Amino acid sequence: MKKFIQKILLLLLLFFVIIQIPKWVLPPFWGNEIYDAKLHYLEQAKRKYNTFFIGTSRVNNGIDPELFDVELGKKTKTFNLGAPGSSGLENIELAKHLIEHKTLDVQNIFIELPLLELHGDKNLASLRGRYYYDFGMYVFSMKNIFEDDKSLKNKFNKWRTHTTLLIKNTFSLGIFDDALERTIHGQKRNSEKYKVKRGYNPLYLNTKNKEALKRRATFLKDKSILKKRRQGANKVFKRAKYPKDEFAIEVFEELIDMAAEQDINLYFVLYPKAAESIYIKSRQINSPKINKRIINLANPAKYNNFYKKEYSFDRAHLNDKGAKLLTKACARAYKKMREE
Amino acid sequence: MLFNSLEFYLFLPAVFLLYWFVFQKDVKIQNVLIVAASYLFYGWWDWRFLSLIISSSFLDYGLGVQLGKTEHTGRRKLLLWVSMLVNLGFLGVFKYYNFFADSFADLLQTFGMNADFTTLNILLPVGISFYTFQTMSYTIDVYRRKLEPTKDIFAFFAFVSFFPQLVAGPIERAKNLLPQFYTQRNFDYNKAIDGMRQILWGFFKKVVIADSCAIYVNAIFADSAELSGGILLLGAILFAFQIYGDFSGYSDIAIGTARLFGFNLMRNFAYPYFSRDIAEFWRRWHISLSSWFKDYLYIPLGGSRGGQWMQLRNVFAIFLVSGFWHGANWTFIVWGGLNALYFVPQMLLKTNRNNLGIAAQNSMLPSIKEVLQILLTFFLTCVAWVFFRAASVSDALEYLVNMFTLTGDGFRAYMDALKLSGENLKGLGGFILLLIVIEWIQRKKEHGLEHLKWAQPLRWIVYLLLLVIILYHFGGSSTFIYFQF
Repeated sequence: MKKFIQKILLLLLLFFVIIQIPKWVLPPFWGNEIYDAKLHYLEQAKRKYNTFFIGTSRVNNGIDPELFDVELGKKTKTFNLGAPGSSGLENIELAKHLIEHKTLDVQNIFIELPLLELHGDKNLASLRGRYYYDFGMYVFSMKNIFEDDKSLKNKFNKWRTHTTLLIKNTFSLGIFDDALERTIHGQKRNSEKYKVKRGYNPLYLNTKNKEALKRRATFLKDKSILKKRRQGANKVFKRAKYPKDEFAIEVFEELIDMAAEQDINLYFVLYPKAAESIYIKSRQINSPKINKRIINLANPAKYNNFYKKEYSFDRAHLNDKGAKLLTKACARAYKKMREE
Repeated sequence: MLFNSLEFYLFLPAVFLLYWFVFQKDVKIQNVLIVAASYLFYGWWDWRFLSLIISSSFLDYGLGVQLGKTEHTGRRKLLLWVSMLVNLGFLGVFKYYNFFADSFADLLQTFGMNADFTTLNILLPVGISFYTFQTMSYTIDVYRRKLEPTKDIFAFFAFVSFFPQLVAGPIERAKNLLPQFYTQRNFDYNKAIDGMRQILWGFFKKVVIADSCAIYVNAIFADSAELSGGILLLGAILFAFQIYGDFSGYSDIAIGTARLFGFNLMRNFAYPYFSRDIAEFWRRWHISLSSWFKDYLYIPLGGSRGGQWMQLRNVFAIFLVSGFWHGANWTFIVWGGLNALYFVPQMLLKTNRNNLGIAAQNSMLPSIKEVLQILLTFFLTCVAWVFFRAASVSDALEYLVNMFTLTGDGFRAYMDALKLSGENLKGLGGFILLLIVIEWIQRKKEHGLEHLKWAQPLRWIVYLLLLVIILYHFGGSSTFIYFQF
């Protein structure tokens, strides 16, 4: 029996050592194809940029880096790192990557708040779930899962998904998959296209993109959606108090400290036209340390234009005209924040 | 609980350690542990269905005891009938009720009568056909006086619910498995190591072959009306490997796991795709079920004795019932019937026992004749598998008609249309080739990794390589096809 257990353990040990090899010899891999391509371009551009916007499609389609720099008197050199559908955990990982990066000249990071599905299962089972999930993320997710009011079965299922993911990542399970993807993507990745608009992908009304057009058609059919979004946002921002999300606060404060250690300014941006539930989450991330770094562009009382059809592409995104407004508003808010 | 799930990776070592380190001194307590672990394993899907296994176990245990007490023929027959009716009744209600209700309503409609039978929203308990057949075999054997009825209730419950083979076999005979629960089990290093090898090979077949084939098979069968003959043939071939990898992979994991606990389960697959005719194929495919039907249906019906009509009836009976066992759908019945049609010429020409040994018995490579025989047999099984996989008989027929129609766009265009990567398909082809080569080399042995006569470092390299390949393909906990039966 002893011999049997020794052999099995030895085999497993050798196995775990072998599967670490690609992790040691290959550079970090971004399972998110857009991050992968944008970061690949940044590696080539070296110290050309010093200000980075991180977030979902709202960032990808909404922040024009060149205009942002112009608004700030060309004191910044901005790049848009937004990626549609990116998750909260992914964006935190990207922010950490930038903070710790040695060859990029990182001075400012603007990260979208609230981070969508901070501990959700979205993409966890996919390749995109594999590259950023560490023990810290696991503890954070577990706390959330066991604190919420879901059923025991639901908690168990979530525990299983997250534990599998942690095991996969801890022991680099799936790294071969990543390595293969990397080899394939390494050839396919078209990172040069991000050079032109510095990662910004405006949504023009005359776009030929079928998926975007479909979203636009749905938006045009629903006459009341903008009103609903505006009312939802109004409701959230009028209410003074929300229960605190201690776990999210802990993660973001840690991120602020990490950035401060490297002399990097970290800001959180709240973008317009999200669903009410997303804004509620954002209000739960409430601490003095975080609050003074929040740029709120979502409050209809102050930014009513973003909720108008004229500036909208679809229900959740601004068109190119709206993006210009948003970028200017962001630059102004940032300037004011710096002055204060 | 699935073999390829996180829960099982925690469950198996925990049960193994308790079994050999905590309860190793008392065989009865080990049996209680097996029952408890098996119920946990099964209840993980749906604890409510445990009541079915428990009632089936109580019933057949009690009937066995009663059969042991009486010599009265009429009373013995009655006890046997009770077992048959209740066990088949469970199957009838949970597996076949809706099928019969729908089919009867369709039949009446063809005669212009309208019948509105209520179909029930019944969930199919996982593995019901497997454990029901296992308990029935016990009662039949006790009735036939081939087996002494057991008085050890925990041994019997452990026999019915033994977790490695509970949900997808091999369907064990009480004669083989039950006595193993009476005797002290001692840890056997060689047996355990071989069990681990078999588990590894089973995972390779399930995760690498079956799950990868499934991606293509699902896409091809979903879009079969639009695809060319070549692609449909590819779909049928890949399904043949999918179902083999899935089911024989499960059996390997089950047999290997049982060996870790000191049990020997019967062999369920003996490299069926190296068969040179259909009769040989059926001696090598799902052996535990084929032999079950042979012992409890074919032989009682008269087997190969009697006139040709009688033999013909018996062959069709066994194949049709076998098809129906797989599921409440006409596709399975047609699949069974087609296999019977394949078998009949061999029976009539008395060539069904021509190939009792293995192919290329005394040489490394098969003769050209053997290659042609193997390819023809494989092709026939692929055609039959189309009925097994299709959603309906008409879908299967349409698939086959299109498969034999050599028109349509090129291979690459279809792969693109299906959004399947040609590169990945080449990789899958390579793994299927690896499976064929290894199993061909090992065809005289029980499984693909048994007693590799290579130096230890080389063997370890093979194990590590397989682990890495499995890991690379591990995409979650996909279920096993045969669980639905």
